[in-house]
Amino acid sequence: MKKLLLALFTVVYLTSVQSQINLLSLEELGSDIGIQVFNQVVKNKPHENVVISPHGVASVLGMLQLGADGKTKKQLTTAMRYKVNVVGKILKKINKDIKAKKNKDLVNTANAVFANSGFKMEEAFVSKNKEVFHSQVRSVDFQDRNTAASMINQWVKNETKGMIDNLISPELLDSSMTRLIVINALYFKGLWKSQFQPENTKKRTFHGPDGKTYQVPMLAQLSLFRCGPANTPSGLMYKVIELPYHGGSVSMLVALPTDESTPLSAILPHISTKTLQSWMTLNSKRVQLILPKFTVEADADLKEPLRNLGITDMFDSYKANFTRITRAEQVYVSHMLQKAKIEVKEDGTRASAGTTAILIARSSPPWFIVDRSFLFFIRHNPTGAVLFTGQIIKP
Amino acid sequence: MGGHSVQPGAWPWQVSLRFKGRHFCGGSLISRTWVVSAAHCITSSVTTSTLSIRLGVYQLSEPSPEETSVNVKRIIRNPNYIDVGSMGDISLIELVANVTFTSFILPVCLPTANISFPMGLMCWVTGWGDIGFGVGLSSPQILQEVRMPLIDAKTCDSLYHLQSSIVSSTALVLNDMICAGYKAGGKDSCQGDSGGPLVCAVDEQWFLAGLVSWGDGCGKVNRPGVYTKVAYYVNWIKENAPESEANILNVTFTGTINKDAYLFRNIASGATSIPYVLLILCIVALLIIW
Repeated sequence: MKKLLLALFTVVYLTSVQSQINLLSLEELGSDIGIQVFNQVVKNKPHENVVISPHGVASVLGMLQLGADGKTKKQLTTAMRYKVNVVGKILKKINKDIKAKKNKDLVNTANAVFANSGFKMEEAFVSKNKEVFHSQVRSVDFQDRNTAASMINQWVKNETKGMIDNLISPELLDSSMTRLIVINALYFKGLWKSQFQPENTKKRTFHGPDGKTYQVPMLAQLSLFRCGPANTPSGLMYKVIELPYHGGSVSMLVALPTDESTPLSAILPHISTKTLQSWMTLNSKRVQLILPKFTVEADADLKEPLRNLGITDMFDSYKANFTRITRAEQVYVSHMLQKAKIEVKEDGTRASAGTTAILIARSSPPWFIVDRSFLFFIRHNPTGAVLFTGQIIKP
Repeated sequence: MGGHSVQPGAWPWQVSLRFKGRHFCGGSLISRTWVVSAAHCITSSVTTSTLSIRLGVYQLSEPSPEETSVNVKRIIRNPNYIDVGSMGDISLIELVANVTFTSFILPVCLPTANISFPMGLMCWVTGWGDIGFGVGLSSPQILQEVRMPLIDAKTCDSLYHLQSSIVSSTALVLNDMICAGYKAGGKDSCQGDSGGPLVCAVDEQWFLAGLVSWGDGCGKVNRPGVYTKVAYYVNWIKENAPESEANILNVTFTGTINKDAYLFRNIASGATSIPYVLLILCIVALLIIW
């Protein structure tokens, strides 16, 4: 029995992109599987900060789908709701669009397949992966697991501009069994369209879910923001605010229940790419935003969450069918991991105040205070792709 | 910002405008049934049913027995007002009932239309607004006061064009506006103060010279706060709120006023001490030369 070890992985630093495409509910579908995975992940970690990349999850599952056959493939296409072979061109366009060079914000996605030296892969799997996901195929010798791990980690580090280090530990590699590692790295450096003034950042009270309070640095900004109330089908109210990044096509959306006693888990099942789309129709208002400054780095093991969504066979050494990757031996997915990091701080691109006169009325604006557990989504608006999503329980 | 907490009852005309109970702007009582505030405070959601006026307030977070709330019968927004920075940032609010005057609730005097409060006159601004740009007043949110010199519209407009990309031919500070503050910044009104009073004492009478209107940030260098000039609109007030006429008084200014007071914030207690300091420096210089 041979393993197909799959590691998926992601990073953020923060920023944005510019272009208008209107076709694609597809990537929205793509990110939906990622959001569902996120829902599963937080079910088991209700009191932890979590960040994952729905787009990254969809990319890796897409790459695997190309190599799967039979029931393994059926489970993947059912959960994902599209066939990569059918919509490959659109996926390719989306991936290209997300990292378009003309974008002012820096989004880089990189996919790679690390195969054991001598491991024979089907030609179609390699070419299709290259075509749709720009996936590079690299040969490594898993016998020497220290070198193999450091080679993979170096690649990831490069692709994420140093943000993600040590993705894989050598212990995770099984010298005799590991045949293949599939990786998606996503790097995002975003600068806020409208900068937070560092002098306005100060410690404020954050309410933890356990009833405890914490003093944490919070950013403050009086600006026009798209924001407002929304509600779940069952009538639970929550509030949403959009923070655009510099280039105008990537935004961070922050959501939290209106009623302090409502847990995040109550609004989570309702959130899909469609819901995010509906938030974008809220009006812009002048509000005083208070948002915690935070950095989250989180590892997620996606095996159980995916199994819960009906993707089970590919993890099963007997049932897995990856004959489109290789016919030479029986392989299965032993691990599916994701590591993501995000940093939210003041940096933005608006010329510092003082260079131009800005007329601001002195009525007291409504306050939008994010002082308890919240959800965030970093969304590529032209395609609807969700680059990152997370929950912050305590900044 | 740059001010300090007041004594209870010090500014009895100061009122708090509440939208569904939440303070969002200031205002001034000008008669038993009329309050004057800014036009920009009256957004589309502010109506007679959502707006209430709270009088006799000392601290926002902890109401005192001297306070009273009154509902609103009518709101009149000056029709010239379009958006931030435009002319006509003034509104009148008619209360549903007569207010009972107490030592904590009294109207302020209005100047006649021909009055021009001179540049350099030291006046006061009061309010519960932010104490820095984006920095709220902390609990119990005691009413704040700050003393600053007036700056005429022309001088103020030229300050607003310093370090600005806006061409000097485009006026920002218009004829119906007046400024107060210092070139160096530091003392100013801020978000939450809008519509509230800028008052000047003349012959022991307090006159409403301006209404908090707009600024660029708060307390910044070369960006004094901009106020709606009340004298410019006093006839409009009289037409719409005839009852306020009794409080419109003529003013005459006597004595000398240092019109450059806005240039000297950092030295001692402000304008009056400056000449002495300069004089002493001159003497010292002369001694050295001699």
